[in-house]
Amino acid sequence: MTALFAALAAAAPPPAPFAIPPIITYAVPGFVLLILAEMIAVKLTRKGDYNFADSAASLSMGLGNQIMGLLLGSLAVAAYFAVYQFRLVTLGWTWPVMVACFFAEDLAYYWFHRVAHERRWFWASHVIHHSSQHYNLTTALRQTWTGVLGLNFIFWLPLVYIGFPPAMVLMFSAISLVYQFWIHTELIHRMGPFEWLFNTPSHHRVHHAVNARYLDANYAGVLIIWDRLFGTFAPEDDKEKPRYGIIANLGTFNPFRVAFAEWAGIWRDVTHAKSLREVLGFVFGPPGWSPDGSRKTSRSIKAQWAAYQSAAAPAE
Amino acid sequence: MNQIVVLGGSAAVIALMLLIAALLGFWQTARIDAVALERLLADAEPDARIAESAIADDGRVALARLSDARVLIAKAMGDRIALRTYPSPAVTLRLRDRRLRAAFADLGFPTLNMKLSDPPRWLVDWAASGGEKP
Repeated sequence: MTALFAALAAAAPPPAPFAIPPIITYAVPGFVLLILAEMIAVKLTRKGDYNFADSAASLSMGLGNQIMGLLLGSLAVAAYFAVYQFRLVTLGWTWPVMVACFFAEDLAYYWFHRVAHERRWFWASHVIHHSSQHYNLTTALRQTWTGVLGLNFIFWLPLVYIGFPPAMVLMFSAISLVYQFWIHTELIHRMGPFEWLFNTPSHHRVHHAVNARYLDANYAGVLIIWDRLFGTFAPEDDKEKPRYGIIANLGTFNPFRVAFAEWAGIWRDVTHAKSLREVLGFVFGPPGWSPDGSRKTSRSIKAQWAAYQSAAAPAE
Repeated sequence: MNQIVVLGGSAAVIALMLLIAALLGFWQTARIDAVALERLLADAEPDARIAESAIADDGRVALARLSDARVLIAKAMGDRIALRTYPSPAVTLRLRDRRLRAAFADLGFPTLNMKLSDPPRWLVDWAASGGEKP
């Protein structure tokens, strides 16, 4: 029994030296006030726009996300603690470790987000957030119902494997999500030097745009530096206003259809696949992949646009 | 129990926000016409061309045949228009009593119902062929 207690004690992460508040829960009143303020500002300034049906769908998705988090969130947390048992080192709650964890979590978010756009399995959860053709603060709450079942949390497991305490990783994840709320607006144009380092409304408008120029860019959570480093940065061009939504826009506001449409698409394709290669392509290939190339991927859309631009350019 | 109270609170706050949105008049509805259809397709696919189109009487839905035989669907989604293209075999049509029903094997795009007071000949022929090809 002593050996068991000793093993459990060794497995337990170092406790935080302060009480970690429920960050997202505490942020909710702020979310509500900002949404109401934005609605009024949009009405008065006619910058940006809202639509009742679209906002209802977005907020329904947010409520569903909250419900699924209550039902399944503990599975992701359990995975963090399970992997933590095999950590390389034990990192404590010191300021250098917390700073390192902030950057590590943001880097993990960047790669999760990028893969969520480039691989259909993860896109099937993430597409919900992009499925609105509007861009306002209710869009920020348009969140997936299948994040845990879709195994999104695996991108943060390396952090706890390295040795960051699970509670620290979860804390910075929550901070990142809260930070990303306010950037979902058309009311803020540019933010000067702040844009060099941080994700901003301008950078994130590009991310939500389906214009070929803007497709699959700016995957940042808090820091835009990863996009600049890994070549996925695209600046907003005032001459080309972002068009929001997804390449294959949904024809429904029904939250259940919104939540599961892409999963149903994967199922339909997999059940009609003729080989293992096709199954793997439909599940883990880029969104829009098809064995005969008849559908459009982001890469093919961008290539077609580039060719069109070259053809349309005046001869020198 | 506490979580149920939190969820109940969230639902109540959502209802409040939607009430404010309604009171502020965010009820705009898009209307589709031939010009809008061309413009939307040009934005999405600069090389694609509309061969023939049919727009519902209420201007909320449109169906078109593209020059490469694909089917273009446009549906008003609030104040926006959702545009989709499908290979023609993926669309099932039924035209009866000047009501066109277009179904797709797509959970994200429910069956469309269009009232057409004067359905064009190409659409009548297409629907009569079982909707297999335009």
